[in-house]
Amino acid sequence: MNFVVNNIGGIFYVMFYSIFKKHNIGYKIELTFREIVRTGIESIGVVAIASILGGLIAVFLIEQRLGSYIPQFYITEAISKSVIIELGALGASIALVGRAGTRITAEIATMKVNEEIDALETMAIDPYDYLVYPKMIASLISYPIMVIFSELLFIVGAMIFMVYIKGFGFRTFLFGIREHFRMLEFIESLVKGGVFGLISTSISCYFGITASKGAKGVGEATTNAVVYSVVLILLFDYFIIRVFSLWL
Amino acid sequence: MVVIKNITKIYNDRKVLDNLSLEIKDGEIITIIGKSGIGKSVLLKSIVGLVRPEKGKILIDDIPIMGKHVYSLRRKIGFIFQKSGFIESLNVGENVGLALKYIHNVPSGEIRERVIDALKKVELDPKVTELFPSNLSGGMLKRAAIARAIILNPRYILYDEPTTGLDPIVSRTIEELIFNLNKKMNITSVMVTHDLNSAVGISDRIAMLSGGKITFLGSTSDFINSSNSDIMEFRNSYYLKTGE
Repeated sequence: MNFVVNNIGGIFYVMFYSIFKKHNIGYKIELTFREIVRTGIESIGVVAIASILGGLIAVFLIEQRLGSYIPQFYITEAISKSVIIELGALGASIALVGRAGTRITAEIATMKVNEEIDALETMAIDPYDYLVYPKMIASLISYPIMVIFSELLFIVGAMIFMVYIKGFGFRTFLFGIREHFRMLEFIESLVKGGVFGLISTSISCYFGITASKGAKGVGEATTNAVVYSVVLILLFDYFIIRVFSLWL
Repeated sequence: MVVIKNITKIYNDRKVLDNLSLEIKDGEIITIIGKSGIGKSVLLKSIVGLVRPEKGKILIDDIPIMGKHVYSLRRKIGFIFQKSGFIESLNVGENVGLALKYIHNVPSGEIRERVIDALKKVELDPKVTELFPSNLSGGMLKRAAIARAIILNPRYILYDEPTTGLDPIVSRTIEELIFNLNKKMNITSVMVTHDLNSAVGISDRIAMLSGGKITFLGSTSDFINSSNSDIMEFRNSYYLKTGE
């Protein structure tokens, strides 16, 4: 229990310290842009595949299990609602934890093992400024963008099944998607993306920085980062849903 | 001047450094020798503030290294790591010029010039700037690491086992480089090694670390002629091992 409490304390320390400390390095925009490319653009493939398949699977299940009880345009409406409320943000974030989060932990942990982080310190470069802060800001930007991308592709996946496999009318499909669309739910998904990005990146950086030496240490750090990321993302998902429920 | 006052560092209930004191004079080459795992690297890392002792203090030019001045003091110190400490994802040029770019905000054209100048000082071909650290040999990596340290014109350079893993010929060239930098740029050099040839060859003073304390401190000739039991044991085992 102590271990978990210490880690959670450490994760939030990394998050707040790296963002609010006085930064002592220049070229932060360049470093942040590089991280946006590595976190966002390099993860497009995995997010796209997960989202299209997720859309196909979700609509197939709804159509097969509920198709005989409800009008067909309600199926697309159900997909649209579930994607914007939950599946887009959660799906994209979990995919990004697997792709970008593990990379961050393994990279920082290896740098620690190879004395690269100590070398930064001796050059008067604070590793929190050089390594952590750009990753935090990059995740705050790239996660919500990837959430929008994921939501669109979820719907594309659903459309492929409904229009091209089940022969559903395209206009009726679009009507189902647009019906009952609420901007606040879309904003909720973007907030989730930003919060999940910050949490996941803080966790990845924390376990990278605190990794013990050797290949075993790098492996343990990466495993811990994934486990903590998934659990804390789900926990914060619940809190965000409760907060937005006050207005919805 | 570096003043180490009564520092104690404990790892796993073992006092690696035990109330240790040492003064490092400006412009000298001082070598700290001792058995493997005795705490030489811990002492070196304490000087630059990478390791925080439980007791005592370390003053760099009369300012404590631990505290709010740590980053400004580190700008005066270069550190050569055993494994070079190069960032693997950056090429040699980017590594050598890293602090110039991010700490001193020097324009890229000037960084390039200063990187090439630093590489020439350590007798490396400027073409290596485009190579990645994994493409360099052990000797080239040590030279490049020294170039990274001297590019900021430091007052002090700390060398952690600079000749470990190198063949005797490359080791001698690295020693000459350390000696020349000390004399030409008036850089105070602190070297940690268990290579007795390196220690005797270039040092002004030698300190012996044993049981967490400095058990001998004196000139190279004092060291060679010393009847201190720790030194005699170290010398004998070294000669037996190397045959030199």
